[in-house]
Amino acid sequence: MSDLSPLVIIIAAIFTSNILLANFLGMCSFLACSTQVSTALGLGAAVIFVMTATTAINFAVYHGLLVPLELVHLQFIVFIAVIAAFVQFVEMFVERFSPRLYHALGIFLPLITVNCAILGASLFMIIRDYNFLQSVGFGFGGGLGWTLAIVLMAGLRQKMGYSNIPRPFRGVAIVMVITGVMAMVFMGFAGMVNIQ
Amino acid sequence: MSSSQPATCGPCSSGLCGGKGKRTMADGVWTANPVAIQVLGVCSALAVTNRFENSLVMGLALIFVCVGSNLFVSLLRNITPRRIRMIAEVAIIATFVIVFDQMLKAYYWDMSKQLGPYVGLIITNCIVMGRAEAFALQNPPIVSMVDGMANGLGYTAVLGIIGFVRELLGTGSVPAMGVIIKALSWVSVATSSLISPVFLILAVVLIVVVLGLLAMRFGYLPMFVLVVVCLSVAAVISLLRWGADTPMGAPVTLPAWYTPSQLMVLAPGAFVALGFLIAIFNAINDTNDSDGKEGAS
Repeated sequence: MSDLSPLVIIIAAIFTSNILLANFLGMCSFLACSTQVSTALGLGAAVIFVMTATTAINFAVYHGLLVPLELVHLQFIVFIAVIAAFVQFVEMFVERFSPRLYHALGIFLPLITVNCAILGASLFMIIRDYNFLQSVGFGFGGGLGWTLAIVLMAGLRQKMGYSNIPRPFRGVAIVMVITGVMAMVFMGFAGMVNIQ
Repeated sequence: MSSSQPATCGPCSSGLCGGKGKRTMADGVWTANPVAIQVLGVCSALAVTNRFENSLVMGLALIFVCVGSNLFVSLLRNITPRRIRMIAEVAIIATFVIVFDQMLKAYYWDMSKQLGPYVGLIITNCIVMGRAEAFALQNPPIVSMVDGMANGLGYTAVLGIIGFVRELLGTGSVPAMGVIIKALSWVSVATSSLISPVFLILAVVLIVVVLGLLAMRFGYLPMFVLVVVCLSVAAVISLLRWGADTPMGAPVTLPAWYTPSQLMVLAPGAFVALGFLIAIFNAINDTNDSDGKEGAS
């Protein structure tokens, strides 16, 4: 359908249709893990890696297995199984071969299985009918965009620790409102390229 | 994730005791509302609330999936090995999501297009997973179904409110609400021609009395939410029956001096609307109990 180059898709996935700020995916971990910049960076790195890899695998599974067998309606369960298995595998692999990396990323990996941004990226790739390179670009750009958003938010929340917030807004409510302002800022990029 | 969740099975953890069903219901719909109090399942709460009817159909989807998955997780709870329970839960949830998705595609194609990937994303919705893990694994099937229903209803109520506000402020009118009002008046007209007005009045009195009794038992706000939810379910049924663009009933419209702000329908409006809704819930809970809660995180 779309003949955009993968590079354009990466840029677009980061800025114009940010997976968090425009498509609202991955909010749970965004709210829970955006209190410190270092945590946010760790989780972001894990998300970039898993999202890029799972879009590639899911692309292969969808077009190589589900479409020829006419089992497209099973895509949800197959995708989530692929994601869960992949995360489990990566966790074991990293634990075995790089304990240092495991300590940096390890705690975030199980969280990622239920991060809806990962499954969402795979579903968007099917809906928008990307080819393989575009899918990988979309997965990578989507992860990068998500990381950008959560790191920005973590920085803001660290600053916010010193400010006097109205009582009902403390906690999640003010984070939501600030995210709204951030989404408005990112809408400023909207004219550049459109991948909807 | 659900750290702030109150103990749903405190004093009566042994078996199915009388007060438990009602408690579970009140918890799910109001005191431990999954979206506004526990801040779970926010992704879809933000994504599909750009239109009122989308929010309601999404709510219906969550009720369906939550009730079904809670039932089956609970039925299988004694034979599910502890170590693979997560994957078993995901498989059960995914099954129900697929069923709903196929139904939507078959009977309501336009809505299926509008909701896009978000129906599929119910699989990773923290509410469904959270209820299966936190409630259905420890409780018998019937109570688990009530719990799933309550949480689904709580989710639907919040989504309905956000969707209504966003569509009203963003476009200036909510056509789907007109359909509901029309459907309700149609029901009353149809029934009044079938049965005598005396019975109709009796029925209304009966409903008011029951609602009043329930309100004395649970407090007025949960009952208000319940009424909103019932109206929403009626709306979904009437939407499935007639669709939103059939000329039924005048849409709920804001006065002409209000300039609709497109921003409310777009992404930023979603975040801001949910932020304010959570703040309102926090404020109400603060005044209700003195040991008020400070958000969920």
